[in-house]
Order: sequence, then C-alpha cells, then structure tokens
Amino acid sequence: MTEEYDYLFKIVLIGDSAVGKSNLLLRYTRNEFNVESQATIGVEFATRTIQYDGKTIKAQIWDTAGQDRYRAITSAYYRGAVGALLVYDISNRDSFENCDRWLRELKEHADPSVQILMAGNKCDLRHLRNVSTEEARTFAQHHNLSFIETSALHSTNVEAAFQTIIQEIYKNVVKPSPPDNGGGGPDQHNKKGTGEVVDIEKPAKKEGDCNC
Amino acid sequence: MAEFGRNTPSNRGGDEHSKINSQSQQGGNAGQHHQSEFRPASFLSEESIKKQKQLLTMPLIDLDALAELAWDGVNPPFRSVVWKLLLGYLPPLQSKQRVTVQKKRKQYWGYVDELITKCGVTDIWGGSQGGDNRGSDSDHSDNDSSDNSNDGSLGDAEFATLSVNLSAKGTPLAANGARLSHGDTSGVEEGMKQLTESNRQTLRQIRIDIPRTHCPTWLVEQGEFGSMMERILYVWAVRHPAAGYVQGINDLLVPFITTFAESYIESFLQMTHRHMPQDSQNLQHTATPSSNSMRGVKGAEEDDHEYKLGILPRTILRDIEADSYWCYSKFIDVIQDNYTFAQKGVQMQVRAVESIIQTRCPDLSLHLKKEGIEFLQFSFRWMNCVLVREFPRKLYARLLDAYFSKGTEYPALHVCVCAALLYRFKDDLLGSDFQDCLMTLQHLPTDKWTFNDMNSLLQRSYEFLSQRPNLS
Repeated sequence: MTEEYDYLFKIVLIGDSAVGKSNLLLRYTRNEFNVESQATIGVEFATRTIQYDGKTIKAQIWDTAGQDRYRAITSAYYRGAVGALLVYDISNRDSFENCDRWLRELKEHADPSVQILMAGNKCDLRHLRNVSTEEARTFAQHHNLSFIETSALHSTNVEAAFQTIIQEIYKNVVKPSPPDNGGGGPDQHNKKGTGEVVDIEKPAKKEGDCNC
Repeated sequence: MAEFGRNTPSNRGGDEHSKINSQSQQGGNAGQHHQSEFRPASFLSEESIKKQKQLLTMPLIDLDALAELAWDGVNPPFRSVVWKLLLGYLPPLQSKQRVTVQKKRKQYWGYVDELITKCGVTDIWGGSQGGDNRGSDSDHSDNDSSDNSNDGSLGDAEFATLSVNLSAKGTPLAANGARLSHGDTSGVEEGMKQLTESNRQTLRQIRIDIPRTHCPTWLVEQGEFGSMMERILYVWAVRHPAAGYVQGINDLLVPFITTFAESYIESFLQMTHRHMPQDSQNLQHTATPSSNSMRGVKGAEEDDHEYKLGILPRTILRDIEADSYWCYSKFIDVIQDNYTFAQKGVQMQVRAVESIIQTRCPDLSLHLKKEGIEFLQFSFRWMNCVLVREFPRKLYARLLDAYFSKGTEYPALHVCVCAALLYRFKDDLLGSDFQDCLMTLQHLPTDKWTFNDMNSLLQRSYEFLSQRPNLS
C-alpha cells in the first residue's frame, strides 16, 4: 500500500474562508470541482505524487479551515510544513487584505524556511474582480512571495500553482544555499528575490488566467 | 437521566384532562388522530412503537421511561415531540405544554426583533418575503408573534392556504431564493450598517457558511431555510458571546429544522390528503411516485425526502424556527466549551477518545502512534460537528435519539461513540499507512450503513461508557 517516493513535502493551504482552498485541492488531486463544497472543519488531507527532476515527489497537502476561531488549533498543522499556498479570492477584497495576517500566522507557527506562494483564486469571476493583478503582484513582491492567479472552477493555473510551490521547495531542499542545516532547509528569505516572482508570473500570463 | 435544565413537573393546578391530541398540537406527530396511520419505522418493533405511543399519550409523561425507550431509537413520526420533551423544551405535563411553548416562541421572536429587525438587518435569502403569495399572512413585521405564532394547531384559514399551495404542487418559495451562491460572496454585507464590527463579522461568516451547510442541496436552495438558519445562528451567537458563531455549528442546526419541519409537513399532508394511499402518508419510507408529485418533488434522492418548507403557512414556519432555536440551544449549550477560544472542550474530548482507545484497543493506539497520526487531525470535526457530517441524515437522527436520552450527559456518550467508531474500523486502519488511515477517517464509509450498524455502534459505545462512568 505504501508507495515509494524520494521526497515527501508537506504543504498547507491557508487563507480566509470561502476563497476556494478546498476546491483548489480537489482540482489538483482529483481534477474535480465541487459546487456544493461544505466549509472545511479542522483540516482535511490529500496527496498527489509527481515526477520532477527525475525524482518522485509526494505532496502531502493539508487544507485548513479559514475561520479565525480555528487558528488556535490549526496552527498545530503548520508543524513540519515546507510549503504554504496562501489563497485569497480576487472578488473579495477582505480576503486579500487579510493575507498580511495569514503571513504573520505562518511566521509565528511555521518553519522559517517555508516556501510561500500567494494564489488569487476565482479569477474566472472577472466581472466581480476587486483585487487587481498588479496590486496583488506588488504585495507578493514586497513580501518575497511567488504569485499566481488561479481558477479551481475553470482549472486555470491550478497545476502551475502547485507545480511552482513544489519546485521551489525542491530547489530549497535539494540545492540549499550553504551551510546545509539538514531536512529543514536553509533560511529562504535572503535567497528569494523579485526575479523569482517574475519567473512564476510567466506561466500565469502565458495561460491567460484572467481571460477565462 | 440528567435533565436539560428542566424543572420537576408539578401536578398542581394543571389541566389534567388535557386533550389527547395535544402532542400533535405542539408540532409533534404523536397525536392520536394520525399516529396510527404511520407504518412502523423499519428499525423498531411494533412493540416499542406501541410503548412510545402509550407514554406520549399520558397526561403527565414519564421522562425517564421515555429516555429509556429513546435509547433504542424514536419512531420517526414521534421524533419531533420526543426530542422536545427530552431536551426539556416541552414540559412533561401536557396541559402546560401549550402555554410554555407559546411563551418560548414569543421570547425567541422578541430576540429576533431586538437583535435583527431593530438593527436594520435585511433578509438576503428571500425566505421572509415568501409569505406574500400565501394569502392570509401579509404582515412581515414579525412583532406580533403572540397572535400569529400559534401553538401548532391549524386554523381554517391556514388549511385553506395550505390546500391552495399543495394543489399548486408546492409554491416556488425560493423564487428569489438564496442570493448567495458558491463563489459569489458579494451580497454578504447587505443590511449590516447598524451592527457593531464584531456582530458584523459574525453575520458575515454565517452568511458565507449557509450555502455551504452540510445538508441536502434541495433544502439549502430554499429561501426559507436560509432565512431561518441566519436568524437562529445569529441570535444564538450574539446571546452566547463567549462562543459566538463557529463554523460547523450551522450543520448542527439542520437536524432540528428538518425534524420539526418534516413533522408539520407530514401532519399537513395527512390532514389535507386523507384519501391518499397509505404509502404517501408515511414520512419514513422512500417517497412513492404519487407522494412525490403531491409534494412537488422531482427526483428525490434515495431514501431522502424532498419537501418544500414553503408549503407551510408562515405562522407555522415561525413556530418551527423558534422551536428549532430553543432545542438547538439546549443541545449546544452543554458543549459550549467546544466553541470558545482555543476550543478547549474539543481538545478534552479528543483526549478522552485517545484514552479509551489506549485501554480498549491498544494495538490500534500503537499503530496510529507509529504512523504519526494525531487524534486531533481526524477527530476535530467529529467533536466540533458532533459527528453530524459522518453519517447519513436518518442515521444521525437515530444517533441523536440516543444522545438526547442521556440528557446533559450526552457528551460522555459522544466520546464513547467516537471511540467505538475507531474500534469499528480498526481492521482497515491497522492495515493502512498514515495517508490511507487519514483518508479513511476523514471520509468514513458510513454512507451505506443501516440502522443495524448504528445500533451495534451504540452498543459498543454503551459498553465503553459503562466502563468509564465518569467521562465527561
């Protein structure tokens, strides 16, 4: 029953409630979308195994509940996470503004080397857009985060988002900048620059995420 | 049983010769004029049903005896009234029931008036407007509950209205329906201006979650349902500031609304369609084609029963709502610690389950530890939502029968039920690694469970409970 893999990466999905975290996970792990998705209570878990750089990587993804009340408990789930997908909803301004709080939350509870990708989900709702791509990109650059816009409904950039975060984690783990401090990886914050953010933006633009 | 804040019933001064059908007037279906028409529930013997019926027709209902019977499951047509009795909402002295319930309903609508109507909160679900096409009830001010909000008995006007609605095969109540849908939360801010920031936040979260409640889609799409959910959840949250609204407690409200609504709907259908085939008069069986068309139902899910709340007169909907609020309150007041900051109640319950498994099933305990699985990872939801998401609707109602039979001590039983669930799936779990264990536990294969499965689970739970009498 146990599959073989070279690397196991724990990734957490965080962000306000109803931004589409569970459907991003469902789209990525089962290529499905659930219109009648129920609010996540506590955490839910799914995995997907991919090949990258000749290695088998298993992504173990934890989907967390978005409501404030749960934070006291969900913070335990950050333990051991090497990546985080910080999700907001492009039609919900508050969910974008709260990203600051989520980042603080991560800083407090997660390993400092955790790789973070910010995903502006529901980019199919362009008539309801409340957060411009430019503004979000600037925020991401400011905080040294990768950034992409996604639509779990239209299956836009979902692969790219997870692929990106997995690759970043991989780079971080496999080619750590010296000194090697074991499994946890090095401190990421100096290494990451705006160049990387732009790199990640490219696939998003190529796939025309916002024209769906 | 430990009582849900009940006073010992007094025989003094009550109307001891209360009408024999008073239960049905209180919204239950146990009244004699139609209970005999129900076929027995598949999971109960004729004998048990007879006993339940006998108890319920006594002028002073013996609650301990009722609790004992409820442990084995309540005949669904009696469920509404039995839950209300066991939860201490209906007094056991039948002659007092009408007055008590009227008072409580008025009180609830007073809260609504004070916390919602006077604060200018508008209804975004369309449920409150539903009365327009129901003729007799054009007043929407919601302030006159003492006159309108009756005791559950039907007036002629209501009958006439109901018949019209039925013949129209169900009014499309949610015509302007739930305005919030998945993916679109743009309407959540409507009519909140006068609220404090914290109440606004509460209402916002409730509005986001209502379309994502754990309940059948056909129900959540009805405007009446959204309106009821919003008012009850908001009133409860504001009146319980230490807990407030916590995601998942919306799921727990559904069994009350559906059980109480079904009871009324079924009563109405039986009263207005006396000559329909027996089948269509029985709520407990999969709807037949004839009963489907009677209710304006299309494509009912297997063993699930679609109905329109909107066939009910608005006064009845108001009663269902108030009754749901109070019974729901009685239920979750006991576990309020689950919903306060850091959710200590949840954590304690999780530890209690862990400790039962450690002693009763050490191999499973070791296996989970070895795989690095923490109980909190899978059982958080079991506690936060009191297992409502883990079972099909009807089996969950059966589980609640047993919980309510334990009065305020039901959390101790709940912990044992969680442990018994793990025990039940231990063979699957022992053969699985971290990932497969978690996948199994977060989607327990209970969707095909029968009442027998639920009964064995309860038996095992009882065994655990009797060995740990001090659990709480």
